[in-house]
This record gives sequence, C-alpha cells and structure tokens, in this order.
Amino acid sequence: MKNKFLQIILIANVFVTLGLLIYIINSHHVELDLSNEILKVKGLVVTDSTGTERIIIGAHLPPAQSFGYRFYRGDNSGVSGVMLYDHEGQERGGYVTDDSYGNIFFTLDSKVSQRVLFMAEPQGAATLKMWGKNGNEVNLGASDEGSWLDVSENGKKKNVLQQ
Amino acid sequence: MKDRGWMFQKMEKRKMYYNNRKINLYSLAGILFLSIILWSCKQEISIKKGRFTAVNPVSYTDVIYKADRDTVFVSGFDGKIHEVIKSETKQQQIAAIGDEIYAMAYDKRKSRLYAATLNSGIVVVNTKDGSVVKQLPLKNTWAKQLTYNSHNGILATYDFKGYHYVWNTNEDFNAIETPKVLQGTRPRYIRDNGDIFFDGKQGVIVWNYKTKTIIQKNKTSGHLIDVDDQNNYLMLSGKEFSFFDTKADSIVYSQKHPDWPIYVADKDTTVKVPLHLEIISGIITTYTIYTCGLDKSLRKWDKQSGELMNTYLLSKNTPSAMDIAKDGGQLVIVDLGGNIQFQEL
Repeated sequence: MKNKFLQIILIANVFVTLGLLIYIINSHHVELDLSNEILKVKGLVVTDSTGTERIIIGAHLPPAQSFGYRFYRGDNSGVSGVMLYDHEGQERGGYVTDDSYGNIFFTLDSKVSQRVLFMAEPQGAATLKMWGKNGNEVNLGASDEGSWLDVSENGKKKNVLQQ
Repeated sequence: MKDRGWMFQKMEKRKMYYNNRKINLYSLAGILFLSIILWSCKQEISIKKGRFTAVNPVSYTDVIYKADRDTVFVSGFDGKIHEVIKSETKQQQIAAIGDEIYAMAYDKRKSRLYAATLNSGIVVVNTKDGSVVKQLPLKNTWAKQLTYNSHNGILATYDFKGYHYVWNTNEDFNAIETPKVLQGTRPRYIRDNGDIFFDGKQGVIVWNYKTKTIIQKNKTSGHLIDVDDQNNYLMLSGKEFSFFDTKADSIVYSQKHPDWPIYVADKDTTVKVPLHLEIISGIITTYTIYTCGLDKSLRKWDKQSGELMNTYLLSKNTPSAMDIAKDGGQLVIVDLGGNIQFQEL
C-alpha cells in the first residue's frame, strides 16, 4: 500500500519537475513590451550600423567631439537635451537647455565650430544668429524692449534696411 | 522444512519491499531536490550599462610609429590600442583601457606607450602584455596631446584648463616644476638637450628643464605644431599654416590648402573647388612641410620657398592624426572613418 503511494508521489513529482523544466526552457527568451510603460532614464544613445553614435538624448550631454578628441565645454556649462552627430561621430548640432543661464537653444555646427544659434533667454529675449569667420555675421532678434537686425561683413556693420 | 521455506520466502519478500522502498525514497528525495533547484532558478534580466563616451568603435584618434617604418600603433575613442603592419590586413590589439584615448607617445626601449585619456589622465601601458603600468592624474579636465622625448624621458602635456604637466619618466615620473612665466602655456616639443618648447598667448617660449633657464622667446601667432632641426616653427591657425624662422624672428611665409579636391566617383574624376578648408595637422622636416586638412588631402610643401610640391588624395573621411617615419620616407595618416593610409614619400 505504502509502496504504491510512494510510486504515485514519484510519478506526480516527475510531472512537476518536467513542467518546471519546460517552463524554464520556454521562458529563456524574454520579450519585453514597454509600449505602455513610462521609461525613466538618464540617457539614450542611438548608434548606426558601425556602432558610431548619431543621436544622444541625455542629461547631461557629453563634451563635444572634434578631430580625434573632445572639447571642454567650460565650467558650469552642462547642457541637457538632444545632440546630433555626423557619420564620423562629430557633434553637428543640438536642441538643449543649459544649467547656468537657463537658456534654451538650437545649434547647427560645421565640422570645425558652431555656426548657427537660435536661442530664447529665460527673461524673454529671442535671438537667431548665423556667422562665419572673418567677422561675417547675421544677428536677428526680438525682446520686450525692441527688435534688431544686424548684418556684418568682414567685421563692418551693414545697414540692410536702407539698402 | 515447510515452515522454514515459508519463513525464508517471507524474509526475502520483506527485504525486497524495504529495498524498493529505499530506492523510491532516494528517487523521491532526488526529484524533490531537483524541483527545488529548478524552482529557485528565477530568471534575472540585466541591462548592459551604457555610457555616453567611449562609444565610437570606428574612428582613429591618433597614430604613432612603432618601428622605423611600416608598423604603427593606432588608438580610438573606444579605448583600444592596436598594432598595424602595412602589408597585413589584421590588426593586433595591444591594450584596452576602457576610456577614450586622444593621443599617444611611444618609448621603444622601455616598451611603453603613454596615452592621454578622457577620465584616466595619462595612462602608461606596457606594450608587451597590454597592462597598465601607471596612471598620471591631471588636475582638471583632460589632455588632447602628448609630447615625449625618449632620449631624456621627459613627458609633457596640458589640459583644457590651461595647466601643463612635465614628468621625468626616468625618475619615477617625478613632476618637474616650471617657472611662473610659463603659466597657461602648452608644451609642444622636447629636444634631447632638455629644451622644452611652450606655446602660449605671448608666443613660443623655450625653457630648459636641466638648467631651469629660458633659452628663447618668439612672438608668434597661431598654434605651434612642430619644430624642425634648426628650431624653426610650423605654426597653424585655422585654414592657414606658417613657417616661422626663429633666427629672423619672423614668419617666412603663410599658406593655405588651395583647390579643395573632390573625387566624383560616377565620373572617376577629381573636381577642384576654389575654396580653402581648415588644416588639421602638420609635420616639418629638414626640407619639406606636410599638412593634412579638412579637404581630405595631404600636401607636400617646399620648406624654403613655401611652394606646393604635391597633393595626395586621402580616403573619403576626415584625417585625425599623422606621423612620419624615422627616415622621412613614409608618412601614415589615420582618419575618423577608421582608415589607415601609409604614404610613400
């Protein structure tokens, strides 16, 4: 009688163990569906097929890359937001806020330096600035106090409104 | 006899029963144990920790000759140093620092590589086994260039906040104090006799670490890139480079890369666009100057006259560093696209 009881338990146990084994093997591949979740992260790096970073969303963003090294942004110059990088991993522009002044700005950079700045200051002034080297610059802006349009060529201001 | 036989049979039966029961108990205990182990095997999902830096596995940041020619060390943003031989396609990994590397210096006699990194200061690597021998911390930020003289073992660099560092690697990396007049300057070249060339806002100052005296001062503009065997300077400023004669204390000539060469693959031809682009790096030798730039070209100039002697087209990526072989007959250029180009001169 006892022997039969033990045999039944043994068979039941074999089934339980087999069930557990099947469960573990089946759950080896886990597919996470986060489409309905809110993610809380410090950063997100999007890389291309070569593994080079092309987009970084972060707080704070890393220092800008140049020709084989990184620039130092300066003290209290931490920026957070979205930064875009070209196929060689060089920083080419971003849409960020900074910690020190509270500005929000959109920048476009050449391979060498920044060339376009579209910025809103916390107190209200908004500026669109484009420049090259040798003092060539277009500066367009508006604030509660007034508006301006400055054009400079080779460092000399041009009066565009009269021309 | 009958009783005896019955007794024997009964005893055998009991023995069998207990044996079976024993086996069953062992099996049960075994399966129970297995069940407990399986039950406790909870699946844990871990996410690989990511970083904003040391991501790019493609771009080369620096190159330096290991042998007199044909064999070089290359470094990358991913913190790896490889040895590359010209004729071989495979690269041999020498070290993996785990931090971005921006510049290297090599001492063949000591089998040591010095690497300027983002977060780890200057890392000293044994090239035989790839181990990190020492780390030289920087006070602030990081360094993007290294200057080294294997004859006297002086290693120098500067960080982005304007501090410079000079170490004597032959004397347990003792830091060498520099005079106040050199504050904010950048060490760019070291001679065998101990002369160190510092580049600053006021120009170039040559200071000897052995005699602790200032040897020479020249008012220059731009950044000092290289020094020739007669102590003349190759200066760089954006799109322009200058050859500075130290005896005359003046610029001999300034030049830009003319005619940006763009290769059009469809027509298998090179179009020359009349624009000047930024010069990235340069090397000065006894008779020639070599510059490479954003126009993806290497230019060879006559040092005395400043005349353009030759234009070499590089790969389709932006060059990041170059080095010249000891005999001056070969030049190696690396770029941000992961290409290494040996150019016979």
